[in-house]
Amino acid sequence: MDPLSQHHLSLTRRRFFSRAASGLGAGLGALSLASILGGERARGASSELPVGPHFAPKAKRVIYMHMEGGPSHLDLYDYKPELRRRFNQDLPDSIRKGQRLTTMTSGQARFPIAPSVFRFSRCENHTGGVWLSELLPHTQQIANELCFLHSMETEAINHEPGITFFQTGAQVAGRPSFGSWLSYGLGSANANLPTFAVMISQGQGNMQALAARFWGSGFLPSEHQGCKLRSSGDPVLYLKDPPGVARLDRRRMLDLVGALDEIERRESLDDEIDARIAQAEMAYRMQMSVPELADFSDEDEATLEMYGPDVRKPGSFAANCLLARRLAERGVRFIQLYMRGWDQHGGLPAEIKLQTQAVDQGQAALIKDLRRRGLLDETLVLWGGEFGRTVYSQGTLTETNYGRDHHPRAFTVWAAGGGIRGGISYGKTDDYGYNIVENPLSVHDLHATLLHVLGFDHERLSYRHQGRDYRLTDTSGRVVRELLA
Amino acid sequence: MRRAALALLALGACQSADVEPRAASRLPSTYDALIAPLLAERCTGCHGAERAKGGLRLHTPEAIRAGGSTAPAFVSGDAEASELVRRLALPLADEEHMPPGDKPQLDPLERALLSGWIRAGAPFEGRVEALHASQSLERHPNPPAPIAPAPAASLAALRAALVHVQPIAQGSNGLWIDFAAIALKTDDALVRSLLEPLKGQVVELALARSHVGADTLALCAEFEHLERLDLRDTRLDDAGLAKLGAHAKLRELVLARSAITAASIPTLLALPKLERVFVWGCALSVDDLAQLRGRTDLLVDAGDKPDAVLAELEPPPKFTNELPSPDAPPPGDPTASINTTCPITGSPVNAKYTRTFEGRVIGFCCPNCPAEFDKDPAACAAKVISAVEAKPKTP
Ligand code: HEC
Repeated sequence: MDPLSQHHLSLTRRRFFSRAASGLGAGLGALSLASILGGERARGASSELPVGPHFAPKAKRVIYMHMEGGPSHLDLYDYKPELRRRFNQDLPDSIRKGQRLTTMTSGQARFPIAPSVFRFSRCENHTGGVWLSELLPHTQQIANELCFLHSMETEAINHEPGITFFQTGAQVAGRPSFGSWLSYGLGSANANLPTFAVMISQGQGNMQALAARFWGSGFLPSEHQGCKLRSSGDPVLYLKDPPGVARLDRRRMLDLVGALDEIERRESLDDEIDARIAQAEMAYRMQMSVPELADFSDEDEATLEMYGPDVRKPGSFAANCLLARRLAERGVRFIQLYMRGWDQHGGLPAEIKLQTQAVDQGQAALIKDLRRRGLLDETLVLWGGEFGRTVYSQGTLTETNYGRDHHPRAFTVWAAGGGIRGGISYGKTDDYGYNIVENPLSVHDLHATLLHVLGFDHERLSYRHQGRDYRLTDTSGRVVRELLA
Repeated sequence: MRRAALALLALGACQSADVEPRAASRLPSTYDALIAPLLAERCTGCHGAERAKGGLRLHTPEAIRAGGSTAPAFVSGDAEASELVRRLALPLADEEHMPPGDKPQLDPLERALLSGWIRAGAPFEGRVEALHASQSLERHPNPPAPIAPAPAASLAALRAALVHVQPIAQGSNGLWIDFAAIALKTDDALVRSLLEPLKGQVVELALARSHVGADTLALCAEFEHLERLDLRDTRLDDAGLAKLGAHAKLRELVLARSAITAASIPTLLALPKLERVFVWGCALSVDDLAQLRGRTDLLVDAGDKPDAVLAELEPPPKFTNELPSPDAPPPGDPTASINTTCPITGSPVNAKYTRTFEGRVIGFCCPNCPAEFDKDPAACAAKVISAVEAKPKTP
């Protein structure tokens, strides 16, 4: 048999079996509705019907604010006043326990304790209050909405594997991003916009590269990959028709290419062709919907003011927060915001001030804005970096200056909105903010819990690839019910 | 959040009196909905039809009543005296702890659920409502609602119009429909043409940013399963909203930035199941809001939620290093001597032979030396103390 026909045959077999299996797994009800919906697919709709939630979801979409670099939990959220009386003492061995350090500090002669120079305030919440740093005056105002997780831990000690772990559930690149899983599981709620949108804001300090694979779809069909919206010029590259091409020409061209693709698809049954058709059609519709999306002229003054002066600078974190709200209300499933520049190995007090000034007002405004519009109820918001930072100083420690190295053993992230218990603090670290002493939370636990809120049993949201079923939570993860509303 | 907290409070308090006879409701019993699925997930692998570790099976009511080889599984009404609860509460490392330490464990809410159920008399029929109050405990949050399947052609028409439609959960015929993609082109006529045939299926409907008005609301009034309706950023007015009538199922209504005014207060108050309404950006005064909030089972969100209370601000930080390190040797035992060598002979101190002088313990090497000390205690003690203080302390 010639290799091409063999390829066709195997594709057909693979498709047949994988479809049959997912149909059975999904249960009879879903099967019938899916087949009805699938009976006539809108042209250019996704090539594969979404899995659909396993149970009624509390949240329909996600806004994930990733703080690239690893913000210091000790200067923002994890209040350790006693450390001020241990200034410049050596970190006790009984706390460090010989754990692995990065090569940036493993050669240091001493590990002197660097208490935070910032003042904290206690904000009332449902678990006796939460102490927040003066760096976050606006976030303090919404402390009663947020669910603080003080006991996150990760296995990664460097940025690249750390971000990859939070985004994909594995430290090694190649798995689908969280947003891709959600796109695969829930599908788009607005066929005119990407299901998974990514926006990046530049920070102040040390910045690590952000690779497109962080929002890649891995082995899921490529229509589930994140679509990056740019902050200057056209939000989406190559969206505009080139000069001289009218919209009608574009339509005719798409119809013709679509017809050819369709012939090829029937021949080869290659899923990627479906994805290509879907993307070309979506780009055509996005030509109309994206400019309207990115145009803030219909926002009232009070709203712009709430997000702060930066909101008028395209690409700033505040502007991206407002854009995130606009995407959320237009039904985009997964909105990934990146804020770069939290990697404060030295000069932390000065740098973190600039970083927090850039994020604080925007993120607080986003929560308030979602809430009053009735969107927070059904939108899950997550804020956090890929790890925390060490209690000991990297480099020279003075009363006003210090640096902090990467710290994966314990750090804080927060969640809010749909299905999450707001106004609580969960988990505890020791007196040094170094080890977890209560309710450790792995990245898999966090993912499992978030998927639960989104209507999925994390053990059943899987995709067969290379002979095994893959999940966002790999082979572990536990739904932490204390965090559910 | 409110519900979960209530449920936890209620778990402690619920008594057998709370158990409703099963006939009174069509809802599944507490045992079927909550207890059996939990036991099936965590216990019946070892205590079920196939295996009976410890002589105990937990897969049917009869088996649970029969108990294990050493003890009954539960004592009706007394969680603390029940073997099952006792085993769950043991430390993880205890070999009697259930499920065994290396197996997936119950979380605190699940343990509270089993205790609450036993406290309520471990009923196999009927419902202990307090245990259901927290939805997150429900293993089957969607008891099969009597919703008929939607006509295929109507679903296809929605999708062709780029309107998002999706079952509210796998296996449910109820639909969530969102017009976001075509909101700016959506009006009453379009909504009616697309949704008229789906009256019996719509559970959640989002029409935000569209141009719908009274006719759409009149149509919504006929959606018997409608629970959430989003009309944010529309020009909907009081007369339009009134068309909703006293909808029997509607729980959440989003009216933020719509054109409703105080004239809609009676309409809102008349919706029997309404739990939450969003009215930010509507022409409602503080008094109007107060009137709405008079209905205590209704959460009114008008964008005026107060900021979190700042309870304390710490004083400007001062840095010292006075706290002892946890690695420092524990502070000495008050009966230990302050010296390590005998002041008489210079040999090491033996803890058995001591004298106390002005609250300080002085040690000696043998039974003879204390007698030597007694001849001039003050002089001898002074010598010891000055020797001890001269020695530099270990940092
Ligand atoms: C991996 C297997 C395993 C699982 C899962 C398991 N058990 Fe057990 N269980 C045992 C074994 C083995 C014994 C007998 C040894 C002992 O008494 O500790 C036992 C004994 C018991 C007994 C005492 C029976 C008697 O009368 O001696 C109780 C009660 C019990 N289990 C409850 C539970 C409950 C409740 C769960 C689920 C939350 C559970 N077990 C899950 C293995 C298991």
